Amino acid sequence: MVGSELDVLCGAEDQEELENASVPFTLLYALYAPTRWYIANTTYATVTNAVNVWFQVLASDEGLVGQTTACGHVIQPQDQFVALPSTGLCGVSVNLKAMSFSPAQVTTVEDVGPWYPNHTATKGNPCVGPADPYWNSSGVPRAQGSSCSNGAGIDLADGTFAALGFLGNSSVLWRFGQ
Amino acid sequence: MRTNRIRVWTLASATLLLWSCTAVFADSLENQAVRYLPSGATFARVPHLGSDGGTTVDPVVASGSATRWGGRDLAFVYEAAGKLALRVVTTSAGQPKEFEARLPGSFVSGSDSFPKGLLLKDVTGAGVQEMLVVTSEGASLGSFLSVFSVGSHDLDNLVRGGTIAGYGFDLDCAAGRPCRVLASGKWTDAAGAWVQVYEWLGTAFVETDKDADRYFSARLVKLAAAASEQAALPVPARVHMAELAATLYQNRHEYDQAIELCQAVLSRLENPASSAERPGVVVPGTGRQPLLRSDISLGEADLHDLLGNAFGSAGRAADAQAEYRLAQDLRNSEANH
Repeated sequence: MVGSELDVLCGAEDQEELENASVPFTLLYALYAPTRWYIANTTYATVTNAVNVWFQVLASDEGLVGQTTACGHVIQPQDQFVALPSTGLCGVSVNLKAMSFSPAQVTTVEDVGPWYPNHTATKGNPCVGPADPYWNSSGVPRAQGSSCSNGAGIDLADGTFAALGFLGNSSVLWRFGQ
Repeated sequence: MRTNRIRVWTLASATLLLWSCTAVFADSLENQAVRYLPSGATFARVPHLGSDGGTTVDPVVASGSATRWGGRDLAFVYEAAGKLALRVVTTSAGQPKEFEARLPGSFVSGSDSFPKGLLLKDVTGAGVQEMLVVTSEGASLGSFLSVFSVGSHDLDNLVRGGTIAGYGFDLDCAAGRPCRVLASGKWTDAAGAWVQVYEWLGTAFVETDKDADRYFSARLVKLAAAASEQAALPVPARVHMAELAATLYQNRHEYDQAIELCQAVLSRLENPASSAERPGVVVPGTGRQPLLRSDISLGEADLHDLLGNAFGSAGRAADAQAEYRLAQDLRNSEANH
């Protein structure tokens, strides 16, 4: 496993396998980068692998047709994009998979949200806090553990939501990249 | 023939003149405002869809009558050091006077009701126009509607609490009374299905929720209509809307409406022409959509379940059982396909 490219489900058995491997490793969180780096330390060498990590989070439907997104996009009927709770990601590619059988979807980030960053508690968004780039830390959205939200870590435009076959807030796997 | 030619020339000249005037007016509005733009600031811009389907991006500049002494006043939103501000320039006795207020959020948000993000309109019945601006940090996070009027020394904030928060805003402006401001949720799940009503109480817009149930009901009718609309929709999108609308009707104990909606959506699913492929999903190399048939079968099963729930709530147990059986048959059939 070490020395080759890995495709790891965050918190799933591939990662468990890596953790249980005889080769000790250090997990580094790559700031502002779409991959994590696993540095595997061996007795005589250090092997570094770029790992495409999939994050499993709750996805919600953004809707809001006709409105403007943080990336200057006007939301269309059955539009295709995602929102992630941090700024600076406009146009970045994201790959999505439903937990049930469904073809993977590739789209781009076109909005900021859900839930964070937010400075003022409101009826629609009572969560207050800074941006939550959870992909650079624990892999778990802050919203997931907070009672102020529905726990969603990604918002999907209507068309992306439908393409994955979702009928309501659902668990999704996503990662950066094509 | 000569008469026709003259008519054509006249029409062409008039069109050209109208176009030129419009262009000059639009240009001059931005040009007029630019001299009042603070140093280092830029106009906030808002994208909107053109009639050709393309997106154009316009500066957030408007003009109107914001003061009692008449004249044409300018209002615009600018960005400086990552902050947004509204600036209004009035003219009295030939002397321009500037007023300013900070706005929340990082960009101006357009929508169906506020296509340019900034609207000058008399919403209080005072006889002058107030400035309404929608700003946001992300559509997914919600937006803020700010309402200001020109005061004696400053812009007066006309919302108790500072701003009206929501995911969408509408105005209900009936003759003979100030406008009501309607703020709404996302309307993509039951928790986000809400409408708040703000009324003008003489000094500020205050949340009163007067007639909120009526506005909610009107919004629910629109959702139900979208779920059962004739145009082809991806099946999951149609079923998602139907489930939400049926749930909301059930929550309101409006079982007949829930039953009617489920039956209408079922009839759409039974007509293949009403169902579109999931957007962007095709079998590689074939161009065919792989999931449409099973989407329809499973969508029908979901709708029969919903119908069963509605019948059950309405006290029609036998009808409910029949619907649940139909749903199970469809799922079994799909599993064996």
